Amino acid sequence: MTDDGELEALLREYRPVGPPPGLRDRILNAGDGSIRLRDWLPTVAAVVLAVAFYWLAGVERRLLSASMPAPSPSDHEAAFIVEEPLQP
Amino acid sequence: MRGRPLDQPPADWIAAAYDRYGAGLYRYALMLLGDTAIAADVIQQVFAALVRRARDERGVEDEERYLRRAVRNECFSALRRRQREQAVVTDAPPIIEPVDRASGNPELRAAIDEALRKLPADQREVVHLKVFVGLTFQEIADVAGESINTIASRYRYAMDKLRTSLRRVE
Repeated sequence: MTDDGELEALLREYRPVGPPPGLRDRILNAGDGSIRLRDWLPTVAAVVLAVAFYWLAGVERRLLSASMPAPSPSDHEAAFIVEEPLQP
Repeated sequence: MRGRPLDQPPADWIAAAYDRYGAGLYRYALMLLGDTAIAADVIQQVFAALVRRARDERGVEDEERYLRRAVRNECFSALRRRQREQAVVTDAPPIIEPVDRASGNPELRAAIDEALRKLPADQREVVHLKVFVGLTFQEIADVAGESINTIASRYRYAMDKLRTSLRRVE
């Protein structure tokens, strides 16, 4: 191999390896690679519902505790009488 | 070819663009990167960008030029990342194959493969575009955004190195 022509001729007996057979399908099925909101909609909806129910439960707890009267000292005594026989 | 015709759905445009340019672009990426998996990833990224352009009704003036430049940019970014991470390609599958599979000399193929891999990426690029694609120095200069003299000298260095490497197997 003395000149470029000879070397080029040798190189041209070869060529770079072509793409794997599955690459075309991989590209055509992949879309644009961006995250679409539509794909995440069920997950987002589930999270929003969970947060809403958690918040509503908190509100309900606060409302219940506000509407209940504070226990009187006699209630404490009654609770003690009821619970004492249950102690081992 | 100019941008996507308005009456053609984006998916058909992408499929047609892949059928026309995909194999050549993959070979270009493989020659630059020397790694089949990363070359496939690069091609996928470039076509994903083309899908986004199609979806946004942004065509491209010259598909081949746009795609080749996009592949080039992605490949050099991948090479810079690989250099930063000091990743080494080991046991890589061959990057070249004989045109006539029946007459290929496996030892010579391995020697050419190794010699090409030893070249710097920018020199390997010029060899690829000149020898395997058949572009002129002027066309390569347009792709690489370099002067024609720079491209010609890269080619000269590359051919000298290849000659030296291959002399050992003669």
